[in-house]
Amino acid sequence: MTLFGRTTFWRYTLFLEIGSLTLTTAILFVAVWFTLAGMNGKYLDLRRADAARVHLFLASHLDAARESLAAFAALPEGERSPAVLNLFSAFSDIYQLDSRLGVQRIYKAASDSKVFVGYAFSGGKLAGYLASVGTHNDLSEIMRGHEDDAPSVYFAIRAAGQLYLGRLDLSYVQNFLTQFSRFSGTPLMLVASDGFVMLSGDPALHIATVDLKRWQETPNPHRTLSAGGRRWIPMISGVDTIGAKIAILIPTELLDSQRNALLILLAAFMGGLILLVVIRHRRINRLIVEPIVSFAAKMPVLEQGLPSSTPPANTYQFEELASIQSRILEAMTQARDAAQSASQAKSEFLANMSHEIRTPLNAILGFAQVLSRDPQLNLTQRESLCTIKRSGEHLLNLINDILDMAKIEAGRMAVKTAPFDLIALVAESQAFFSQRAHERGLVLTGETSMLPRMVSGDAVKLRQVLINLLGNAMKFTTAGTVTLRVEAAAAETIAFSIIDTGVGIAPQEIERLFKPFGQTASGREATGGTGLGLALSQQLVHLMGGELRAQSTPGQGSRFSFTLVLPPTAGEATVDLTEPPIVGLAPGQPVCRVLIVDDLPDNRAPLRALLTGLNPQPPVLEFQEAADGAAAVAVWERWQPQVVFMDMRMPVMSGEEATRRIKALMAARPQTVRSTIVALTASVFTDSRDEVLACGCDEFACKPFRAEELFAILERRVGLRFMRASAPPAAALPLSDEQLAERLAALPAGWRAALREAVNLGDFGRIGTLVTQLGQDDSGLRTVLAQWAYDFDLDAFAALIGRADGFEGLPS
Amino acid sequence: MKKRVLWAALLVVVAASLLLWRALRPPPPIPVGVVGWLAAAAVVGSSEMNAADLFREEHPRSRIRVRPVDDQWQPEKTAPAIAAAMSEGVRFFVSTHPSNCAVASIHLFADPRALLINTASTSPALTGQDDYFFRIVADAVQEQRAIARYVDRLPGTRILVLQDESNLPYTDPAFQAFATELHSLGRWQIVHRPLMVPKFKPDEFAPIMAQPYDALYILAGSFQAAIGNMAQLFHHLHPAAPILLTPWARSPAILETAGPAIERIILPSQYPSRHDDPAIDAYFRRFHARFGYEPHAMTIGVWQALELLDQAFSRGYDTPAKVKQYLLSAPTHQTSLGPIAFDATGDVSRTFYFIQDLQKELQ
Repeated sequence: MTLFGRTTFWRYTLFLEIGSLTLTTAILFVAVWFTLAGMNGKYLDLRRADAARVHLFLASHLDAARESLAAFAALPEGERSPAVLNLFSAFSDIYQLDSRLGVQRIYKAASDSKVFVGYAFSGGKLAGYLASVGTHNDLSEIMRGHEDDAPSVYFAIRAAGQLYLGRLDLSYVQNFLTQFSRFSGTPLMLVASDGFVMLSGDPALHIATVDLKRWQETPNPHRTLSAGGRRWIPMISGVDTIGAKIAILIPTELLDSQRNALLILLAAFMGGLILLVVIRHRRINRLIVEPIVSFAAKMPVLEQGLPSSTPPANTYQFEELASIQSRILEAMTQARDAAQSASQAKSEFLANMSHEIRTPLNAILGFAQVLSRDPQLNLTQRESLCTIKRSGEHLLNLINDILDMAKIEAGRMAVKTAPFDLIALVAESQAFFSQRAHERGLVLTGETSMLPRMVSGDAVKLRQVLINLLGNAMKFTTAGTVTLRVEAAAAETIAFSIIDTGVGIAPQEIERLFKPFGQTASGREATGGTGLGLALSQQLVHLMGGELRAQSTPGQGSRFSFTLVLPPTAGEATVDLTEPPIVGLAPGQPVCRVLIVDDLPDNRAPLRALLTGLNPQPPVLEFQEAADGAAAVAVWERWQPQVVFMDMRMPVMSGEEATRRIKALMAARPQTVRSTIVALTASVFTDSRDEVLACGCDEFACKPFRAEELFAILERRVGLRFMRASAPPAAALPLSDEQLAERLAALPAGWRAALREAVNLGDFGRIGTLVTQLGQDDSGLRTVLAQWAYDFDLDAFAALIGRADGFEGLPS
Repeated sequence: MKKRVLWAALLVVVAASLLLWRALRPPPPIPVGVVGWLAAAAVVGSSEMNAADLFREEHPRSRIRVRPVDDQWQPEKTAPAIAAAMSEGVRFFVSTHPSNCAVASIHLFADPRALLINTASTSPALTGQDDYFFRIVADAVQEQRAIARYVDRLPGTRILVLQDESNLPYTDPAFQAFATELHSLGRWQIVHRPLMVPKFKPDEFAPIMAQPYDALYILAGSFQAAIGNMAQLFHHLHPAAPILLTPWARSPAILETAGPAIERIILPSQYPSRHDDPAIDAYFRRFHARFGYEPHAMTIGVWQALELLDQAFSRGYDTPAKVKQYLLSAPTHQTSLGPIAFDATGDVSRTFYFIQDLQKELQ
C-alpha cells in the first residue's frame, strides 16, 4: 500500500473485500450469461425442430392433395359427377380454364364464391402462378382467394390438353395450426411473401403482418415482439412447398423464468456472500481493528504517563493481540513510571532551585532596596547599588521565566480572567520602553484602533507577552521604528502586532523561533537572553486562546502578531496615578509590633533593615525575630505582634503549621490582637498562592520581596501611614546620538580605549566600572551609558564608539 | 475544510449537470393513435401501420410514437377503442376507417381533449363542424359531383349504379350527390341497384348486368376485393363499357380480381397518378422496398397527417388546442406528398384525377 499511500487496516480490508466481491460477481455473471445463452440456444433449436416437423406434416398433406387433383384430371368427363366430386375434399373449388385463364367450367365451388364462368384469373399473383404451370409441380403462393377473399392456395395441373385449377380447402390446415398452437404453446402462422399473416393458429393475437425484413434473422431471445400481452421470439422459416412462410412465435416465458431463476440464484448467492463478507468484516473489525484502534488512541495518554490514564483492559480474543498488548503495556508502564519520576525530580529540582536561588537573592535585593533608600549614598555608591539590584533582578527574571515555562509544561498555569483597561495596558507597555527607545534613537509608536476600553482577559499574561515582544523588538532594532499596533479584528477579537525595522530573521530560522532555549543567529549575536522569551510568549498566547505568528524579512524587520478573544465588559477605566516613593512612616502612630519569621538570618536581616529604615522618632515599628515556626508561635503568645512576616519553609515547624496554630490561638482568644500574617516564600513553584492563603495567611508575597509591595500590605492591612517624597525625581534630559558621540570623544583617550576593549570583550563588569569612573563630570553621558550597561546593550556602545571615533578626527 | 470544498464542488457539478440535462434533453415523445382495421391480415390495416412505421424510420427525431388503435372498421367498436386510448393518455389520432366509424366517434373530438386527422371518411355529416376533427380528404359531395361531371363526358345514356349498403353513411349521401349532379346535367339515365358488396353473387347480378348499359359505377369503398369480381362480370357482359369506381377502391386487390376488366376501369383519385407525381411514386417505391407490397392509397393521407402533426410538435405545439390553432393558422401546409389547405372548420377541398391505366398504376 505504500504505492498508494498509507491507509487504515479497516479501509484496506474493506477495499480487498469489495474487490473480491466485484471479481466474484463478474465471474458469476459471465457464467450465468454463458449458461443462459446455452439454454436459450437449445430451447430455440427444439422449436426449430418443431417447425421442421410442421413442414413435413403439411408437405405430406399437400402431396396427397396434388395426387388427388391429378386423379381428378385423369377422370373422364362423364364420371365427374357431384357425388364423385365430393370425394375430392382437399379442394374447395375446381375449375377448367381456357388458354386465356378464363373459367370454362366450374366443377366445384365454395358456397359464397364470386367466380363465374367466364371469370378470368388473369391478374395478380395467381396469373403469374398459372403462367408457370407445367414447368414445376409446386403450389401457388398463399394469397387472398378470388372467390371469397379468404386465404387460399391454388394448385393447377395440365392434363389431356386441359388446364385444371383447384383451390385447396385450407380448413384442415387452419385446424392443424390451431391445434398445434394450442397444445404446443407456440402459435404457428402462415405468412405470405409480402408479410401478411394469412392463417394464424391463434387469431386472438391479432397479428396482421410480420415485418419479414426485421424478423427473418436468426431468432434471438433479446429480439422479441409483443402480442396478446405476452412477449414472443419470432422464428420465420423459408417458403416451402405450401407456398407460405411458417412463422412460429416462441413464448419467452420459459426463457424468462429460466433467466429469472438464475438471476435470483445469482442474487441470492451474492446477497449471502455480501452478508457473509459484512459479518466477517464486522467480526474482524470488532475483534482486531477496533482493539488496535482503541489501543492506539490510548497510546498518547500512556506515553505521556499521565496518572489518570488507565491501561486498556486486556480482553482480546486472540492470543497474539493479548500478548502484544501485555508487552507494550509493560514497556509503557515502565516508561510512564520513569517519566513520572523524571517529572517529579524536575519539579523538585525546580522548586529547590527556585528556593535556593531566591533565598540569597532575597538578601541581595532586600539589602539593595534598603541601601538605595539611604540618602547618604554618593553617586558612585548608588550606581554600584543599582548594578547589584539590576543584576539581581535579571537573575530573578531568568528564574521566573524558567518557572513559568515549567508551570506551563506541567499544565499548572491557568488563565485568570478579569476585567481590565486594555488601552491603559497598551499605553503602559509602550511607556515601559519609551525611555529606552529614546535613548537608542528609535521611534516607538503605538497604534490603536476601535478598541473597547474595558475587556475581560488575563491582563498579567498579556502584559508579560507585550513587554517580552517589545523588548525583543527593541533589542534587535538598531535604527528605525518599533510599532505596537492593537486593533479590533472582530466583535470580541483584538489583534496585536509588534512590528520593527530591525535585523530580521532568516526564513529557515522562523520555525525554531518559538522553541525553548533556541536562538536565532541574530539572537546569538546579540548579548543577553536565554532564548526563553519567545517560547514563553507563544505558550502564554496559546494559553489565552491565540496563536503567536512571526513574519520577517532579513534586513528589513519582523512582525509578531496574535489575536485574542477579549470580550468587552462594563466597568470604569483605571487611572494610573504613579505615587511618589515612600520615604518613611508618619510619626505619632501607635506602635506596631512586627515579627519576622525565617530560618535564615540573611533573610530576616534585610527585611528588618528595610522596615527599620522607615521608623520615625519615636519609632512606630518594633521588631522581634524567630528562626522557625515553633519559635514564632511562642513569640506570638508572648508578644502579640500586629504583623507577622512568615517564611513557609522552615525546620522544626513550617510556616503553614505555625500560621494555622497562630490563627487557632487567635480564634481561641478573641481578646488578643488580630495579627496580619504575611506569607513570604521563595518556592513559588510548589507553594501556590491559593494553597498558602488556604492555611490562614492573610497576604502572600514572594521572595525576594519588593519593598513597595510590602509597604502596600502594611498600609492596607495594618493601617500604617507612610510619608512619600514630595515629587518624583526628574529624568535626565535626553541627548542626541551626535551629542553623546561628541561628549564621548572629549573623554580621555585611555579611558575610551579601555571602554572599547571592554565592549569588544562584552565585559559588562568592566564597562560598569568604567562608566562609574566618569563621576559627575558628565552626568548626562554617564546616565545614558549606565542605562545601556543595565540593558546589556553592546550594540549601542559599539555604535557610539564608532561615532565618537569620527568626531575625534575633526578639529575642535 | 478541504473535504467541504470538495463536497461543495461535487454538489455544484451535479447541480450543473442536472440543469444542463434538463436544458438539453430531448422533448418527451407524444403518442399518436393510428385508428384502423389493424388485424385485417390484408393490405387494409397493414398499410397504415407500415406507413406509420416507415414515417418513424425516416423521421428518427420525431416526437411521434405510434400507438395502434384497432376498431376493425366496425362503428360500434370505434368509439370505445378511441376512448380507451384516450384514457391511456393518447390525445392525437390519425384514422383510416370509413365514414360510418367516423360518424360514430366524432363526439369524442368535440372538445380539446383530443384531436383527430381523418384520411378516409368523406361523409358530409362530418363536414363544416368547428371541432377537433380534421379531414384531409374532400367530402363525398365534392367527390361525387366530380365523378358525375366526368361521367357526363362519357359516351352513352344509361348507367348502372351499384351502391354498397355496407357503408351507408358514405354511399347514401354520395349517391344522392352523384345522382343530383348527373340528373342536373340531363343526359344520363341512372339504374340504381343497392347491394352488399361482400355478399356479391355473380349468379344473382348477371341478369341485372346483362341489360343494356353504357357504363357501370360501383359506388363502394373500403378497398373490397369483390369490387374486382363485380367489374369483371360487367366487363364480361359489356366488354366495351367503362367502369367507374370510387377513390376508395384504389387497391392492388382490385388488380387481382378485375381480370381483363382492368382495362375499362376508370379510378377517380384525390391524388394524381404516381406516374405524374414523382413524390408519390417515390413514396410508393420506398414503401414497397421496405415492406414488399404495394400499399393502398390511404397511406398517402396517413403520411401527410403524420407530417402535419410532426410539424406542429416540432414547433412546440403539443396540445390538441395548440395543434388545432396551428393547423388553422396557415392557408396551406406543405407536405412531402402535396399541399393541404384546411378551411375554417378543418375540411379540405380537392382536385380529382381520373386514372385510366389502372394496371400500370397499381402494378
